[in-house]
Amino acid sequence: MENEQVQPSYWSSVLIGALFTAFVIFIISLVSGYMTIGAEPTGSMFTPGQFIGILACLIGAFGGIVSTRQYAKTYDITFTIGQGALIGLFTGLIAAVISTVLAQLWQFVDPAYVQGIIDSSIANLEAMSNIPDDQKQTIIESTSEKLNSQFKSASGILIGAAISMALFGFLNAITGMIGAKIFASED
Amino acid sequence: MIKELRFENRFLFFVIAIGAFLLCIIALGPGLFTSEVGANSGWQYLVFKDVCHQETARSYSFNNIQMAVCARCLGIYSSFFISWIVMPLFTYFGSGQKKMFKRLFSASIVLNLLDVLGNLFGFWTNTCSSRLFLGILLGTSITLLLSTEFFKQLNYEN
Repeated sequence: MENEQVQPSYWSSVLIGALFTAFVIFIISLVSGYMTIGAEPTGSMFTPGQFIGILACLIGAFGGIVSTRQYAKTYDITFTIGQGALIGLFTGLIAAVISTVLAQLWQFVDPAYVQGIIDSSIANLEAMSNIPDDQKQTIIESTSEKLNSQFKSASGILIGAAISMALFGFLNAITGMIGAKIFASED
Repeated sequence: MIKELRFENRFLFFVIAIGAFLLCIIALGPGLFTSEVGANSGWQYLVFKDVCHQETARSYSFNNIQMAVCARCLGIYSSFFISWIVMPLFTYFGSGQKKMFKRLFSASIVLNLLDVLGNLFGFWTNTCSSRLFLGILLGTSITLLLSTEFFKQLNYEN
């Protein structure tokens, strides 16, 4: 017990990683959202919006690496992979909450944003030409119902936030382990 | 010489294994449970909407229904889960390769970035198969990188 060192708190590093992740997710979803709204329903195969989308692939999971790197470099310490996973988990959970709040706040800035996304998604479905009309109508109705529930009802928003917390928590726990291994390992 | 593996961080190992399994199941999309028309708006897409572009042209289908993630992400999640389960074998046969595992991890990130940029600027056109392959490389390299934290090889003289 005498040799046991008290490690500094990791919460400031967690907050930095969470803010970074939340803002990146928010900005990417905003940019791709406006590109979706502005795009023609029968757009080309590869648009700038798709590149934004490709960037979004797993970028939400980088918070764990940012937090663990920040923690290890700031205090010049080593820590276990389990602690890295914990730091990543907290980073993901907080990032999910912040990005959900930012998305809700954006509706005050641009009240037409959500309706624009829903309308564009429906217009894209209506432009599909490879399925029969009755099937298309079924898809459009179910999609419209789900999008309205997802974006406009309190339960839909809360469920979306819970799903984001679970996913970002898990993915960032993995990147937290990677960060611990690369930046804070004794090897 | 007798080789033996010491299993560490067991709780974390099993939590990650269960989570990775669930992610793989969800990533396969609604086609795993139904082939009904209209399933293209299943909850599985909502799960991955913030971490994957979910482009139809860049995704595989299951039961004629688009999967919930693109080909690259499918490669990452599936190979991560499978290689996580067989992680003891990596350590048993590849112990002492820590530096190589780190290099492989870095290389797989660079290769994925190069693939995206090369395709974007028109140097080549990637396919679902090439994206899947590079995703598999990344997912496996993550497991290899972390493997020595969960299984340690102990060697004994006879």
